[in-house]
Amino acid sequence: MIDVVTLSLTLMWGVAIGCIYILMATGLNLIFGVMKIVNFAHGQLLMLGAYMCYWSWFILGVNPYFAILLSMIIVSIVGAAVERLCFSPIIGTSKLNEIFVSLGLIYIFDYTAVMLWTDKPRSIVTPFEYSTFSLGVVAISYDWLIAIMVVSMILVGMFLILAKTKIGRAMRATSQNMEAAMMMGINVKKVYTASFSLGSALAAAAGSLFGIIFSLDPYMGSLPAIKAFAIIILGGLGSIRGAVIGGLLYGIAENMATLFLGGIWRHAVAFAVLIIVLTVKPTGLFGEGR
Amino acid sequence: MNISLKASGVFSPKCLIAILVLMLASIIPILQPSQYILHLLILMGIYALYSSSWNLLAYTGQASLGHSAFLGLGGYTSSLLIIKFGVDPWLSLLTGGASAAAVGFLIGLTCVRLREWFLAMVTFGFAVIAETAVMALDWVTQGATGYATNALLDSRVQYYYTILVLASVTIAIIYLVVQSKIGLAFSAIRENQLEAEGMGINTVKYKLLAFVLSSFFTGVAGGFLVHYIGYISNEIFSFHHSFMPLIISVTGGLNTITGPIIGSIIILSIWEALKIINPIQRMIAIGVFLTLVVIFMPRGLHYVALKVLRSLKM
Repeated sequence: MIDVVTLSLTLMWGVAIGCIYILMATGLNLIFGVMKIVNFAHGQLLMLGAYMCYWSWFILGVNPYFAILLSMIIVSIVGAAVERLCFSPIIGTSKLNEIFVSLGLIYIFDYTAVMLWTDKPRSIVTPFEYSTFSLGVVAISYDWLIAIMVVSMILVGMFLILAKTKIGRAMRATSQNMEAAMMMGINVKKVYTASFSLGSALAAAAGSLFGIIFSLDPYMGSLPAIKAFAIIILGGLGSIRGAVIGGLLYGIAENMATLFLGGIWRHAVAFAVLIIVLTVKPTGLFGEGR
Repeated sequence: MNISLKASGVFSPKCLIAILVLMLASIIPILQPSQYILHLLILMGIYALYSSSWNLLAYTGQASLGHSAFLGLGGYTSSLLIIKFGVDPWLSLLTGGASAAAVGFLIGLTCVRLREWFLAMVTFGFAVIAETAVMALDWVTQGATGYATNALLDSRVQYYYTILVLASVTIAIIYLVVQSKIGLAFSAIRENQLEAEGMGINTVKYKLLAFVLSSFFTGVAGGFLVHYIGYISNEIFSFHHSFMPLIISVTGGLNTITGPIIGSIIILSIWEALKIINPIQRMIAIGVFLTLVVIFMPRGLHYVALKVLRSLKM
């Protein structure tokens, strides 16, 4: 029988993994909002972020939570390069081309990672790995709590960038009307690169947290990325608030499904929900038709 | 302009080229190729069939990332029918296609209303669901272990001729569909769905038709594939199987009849040639290849070939 402890632990797992989905979905939404492209290789940036965090922790011996910052910086540079080299030449040609290029990138990133780092799963050990505190009958790991705090800090940071800085204003302007922004003297190409780079940094943070809470391997990226897509489809393309609420709900729902239906249904349930929602409302739950 | 280019029917240049290619293809076994070459040619045939079906869907602007679901459905249906009920093998191939088409119709009902990205996601997810279902039904499908399938034919030469006929007939049907009014509707929808709707084209109906046709032929290809390999497991639903027809069609030329044929010959040759490096580097190479093709040659080899032909005529 399922008792209170199991249920609350499942809920906590759901919130922790939900935080990772929030970061992914927000990054995707940011890139979509500004560039109007969907990067299917977003999960590969998550994987890269996880490895960067791992190696910073493993080689430099820094605290894993500090390593997240290093990983975000490295992956944002990689993201900028990917945007310049692969997406910039094809932007505006055909939506299918964007999908095809991201598929190519998935192959490149995944298997380069396998080649360089083998497909052996690794894990990042934090100083708080085994410390928990009790909340009533439930023992909660500090790592989950820190993960939630880190995500909140990153989201606040991103909101500040979007709201207060010049490049943030340029991003918002471009997302509203690319041509008008261009006429106001905004360098749209630079804005594209900046948003892609910021989105990649969010994916890197998600990957690092994923590596800290769970483990990392070269194929880890695909499923969180797909779930992030599901979330932004549910929450509405371009809506950051939708991504945050959707991410949390999704993380919880997924873990509940695993608890009640069994492990093999974990991923399929996600898609089943997605397909049902899209059947009922083809533009997503809160999305506007375009 | 050359007048003969305007000629239609059996004597049109296109048709003559097709007949020539078919004749060349049918004399290959007489040259006594090694079993390995024959195997490669059969695979090319299967992939030409599979990619052409995928490409038929792309004619309407719908790029599926989960066609392995239909490939697997066709494969499982057709092989299980033979093993469990002793159905005639050729009938089982058609039934496999029909079951894939039925599922394609159902999933198409959702997909036809979606935009490109959503469609890509849903089809991709559908392949994951199909795999999960097969794993959950392991008392009949034997999940990840898989089971051996019955051979349809005795020798590779027979397989070769069969797939040659099967692929040619399918591609001819696809050609006729694309040349007809239906094909015009497909192109109109691809170019601008809103305008197509404005011209009175029932976009939902045509997109659904493309879905059903595409999944039917994919199911047939799947049935043939598993009977030829002699084995089926959940591996058939892998991402790689879904992306392969996409890579082939993009390389050969999207929305062309010849594209998937050229593509499957080129991609499978490259794939085999890359066997000398390790399998991981092979995957990286195919990724780099796809990215470069999309960026530098978005219209594919078909277009490059046409350009070369035209410049020769000048």
